[in-house]
Amino acid sequence: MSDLIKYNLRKNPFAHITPNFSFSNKRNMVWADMAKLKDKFERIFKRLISRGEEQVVLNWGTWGGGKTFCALYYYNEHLENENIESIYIRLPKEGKTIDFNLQKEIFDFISFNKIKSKIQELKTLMAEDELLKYLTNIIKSEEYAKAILLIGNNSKATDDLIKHYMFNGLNKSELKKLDLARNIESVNERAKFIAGIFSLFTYKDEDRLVLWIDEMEDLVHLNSKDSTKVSMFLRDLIDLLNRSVAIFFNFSLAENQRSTLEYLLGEALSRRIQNYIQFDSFDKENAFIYISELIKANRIKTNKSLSPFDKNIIGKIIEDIQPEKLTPGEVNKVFSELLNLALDEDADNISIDLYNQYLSNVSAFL
Amino acid sequence: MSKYNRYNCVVDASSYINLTLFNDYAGKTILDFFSEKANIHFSRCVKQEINRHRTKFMPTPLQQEKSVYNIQYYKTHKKYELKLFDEYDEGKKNRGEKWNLAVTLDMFLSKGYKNLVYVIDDFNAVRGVLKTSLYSFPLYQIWSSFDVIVYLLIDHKNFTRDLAINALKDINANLANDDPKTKREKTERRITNLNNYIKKIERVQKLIVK
Repeated sequence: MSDLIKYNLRKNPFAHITPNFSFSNKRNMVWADMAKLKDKFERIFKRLISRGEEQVVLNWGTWGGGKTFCALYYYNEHLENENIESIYIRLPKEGKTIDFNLQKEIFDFISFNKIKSKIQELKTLMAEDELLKYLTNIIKSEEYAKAILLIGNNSKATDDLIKHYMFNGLNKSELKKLDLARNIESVNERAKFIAGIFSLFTYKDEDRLVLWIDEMEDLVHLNSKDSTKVSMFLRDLIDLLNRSVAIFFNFSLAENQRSTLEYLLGEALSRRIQNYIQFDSFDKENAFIYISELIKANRIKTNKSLSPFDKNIIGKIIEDIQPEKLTPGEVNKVFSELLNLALDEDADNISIDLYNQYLSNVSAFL
Repeated sequence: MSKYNRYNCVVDASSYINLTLFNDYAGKTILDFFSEKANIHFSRCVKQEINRHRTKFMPTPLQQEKSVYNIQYYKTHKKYELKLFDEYDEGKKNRGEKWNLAVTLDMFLSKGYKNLVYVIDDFNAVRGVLKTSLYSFPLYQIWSSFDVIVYLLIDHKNFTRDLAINALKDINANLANDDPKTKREKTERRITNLNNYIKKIERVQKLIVK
């Protein structure tokens, strides 16, 4: 148990300054306030899970607004559901090989062995010919359907070759060994290959797949040719997968820059987005609710106290943060640092003096 | 517009590079379109910088030579530099930007050129060494490569909206002298920049239908 015990806290409620996979799990992720926002996601997941409807959603809004948290929250929510396969990636940064990197990031996240196990599981449910037919029917390419099924083989030599095939490409004699005619080269071919992999995880009626792509705003660092590759890849993926799949894009953007979205995503991809969900900054009342709910969720003993903060000091801090910066990310940053300062100073609570001491060092962002 | 009524654009190396990044705008570079509508000039010093940072699609050094506006160093440039800038450092820092400003002023004061435009993408230099002098003379407009794109959308009949948008994205993704401290600031700045110019393009489109 940490030093926070004296404040009646199990752990720092504001630790998620930048949500991180390695530290997040279902137990310590608390969805505080933002009830309307949560309701929107619950509806989307209901449509996906109960009716298998494809969902393409763009989450947009200010930096620190909670988009990444939302992705990790639902990733963790679905982790124990064996019918849902969740994938979380960030938009790769390297422009020239962006389509290859997208394919690689998705593949790495799922993992070779998981795909192998899935194919082996499906082979117990149906003949290999049937599985080949199923994949071919979805991705409209027998060649890549064949290549995907090779992942499910039992030979180390074939494993090595198929990994090279996916990441580096094979020469003619190597392709011949696998009885394949060509490598994966174009953007369209990469989308087919990934759509085929995804389809393995949506074979059964109750199977669902959720893909989160974070930091889509990095499209602005790509030239028009490379950003078109991203749009084409995602458009083809969406078109090939028409059931049991939800794709979420997270895009940080100021409110008055909304019109830039279409230009960065490309018209074809924009047209396929069914839902635009905005992550606003808080108003003062919501900020207060957010803070108190986080504290309450992390208390050791249930009582009315907001220890080590109190109502007045929380109100004062909220007043001091610039309205456009009043986001979950910024609130977590300020409150987490204050909590650490209180621990460093061995303070009984967070008083106005302690807050002023904190302000003297960090006044730049308040 | 006849050649004599065209804009006389004095282009900095930073902009010259950005205008020649790609040649897939209907098979041409932005500079190709620009030089069909405006007279391109630069100082000898900028030509040397351009040669040090050549892009694949730049005109050859021989073709570039036609754009050089010669001023003598001791008689003319030094005179301008001493009077324009508080500190004279024999042109060691931001040489190209200073020489180009001297060229722009000399084109007006000595040769009587009109329709002058000073084109620059080095925003650090604009905010820094050029800050006072550049804005002291209401004799020329100050453009960036983004303004060149908006201008071409207005004045070049073959420069379409799609070309303009692609060109904006390409140059925005390549801004070199725009170096905020964090990745977030860099992303925010580029999105803001793109957003501002997209709005200009949309505004122009309302007036000029191609």
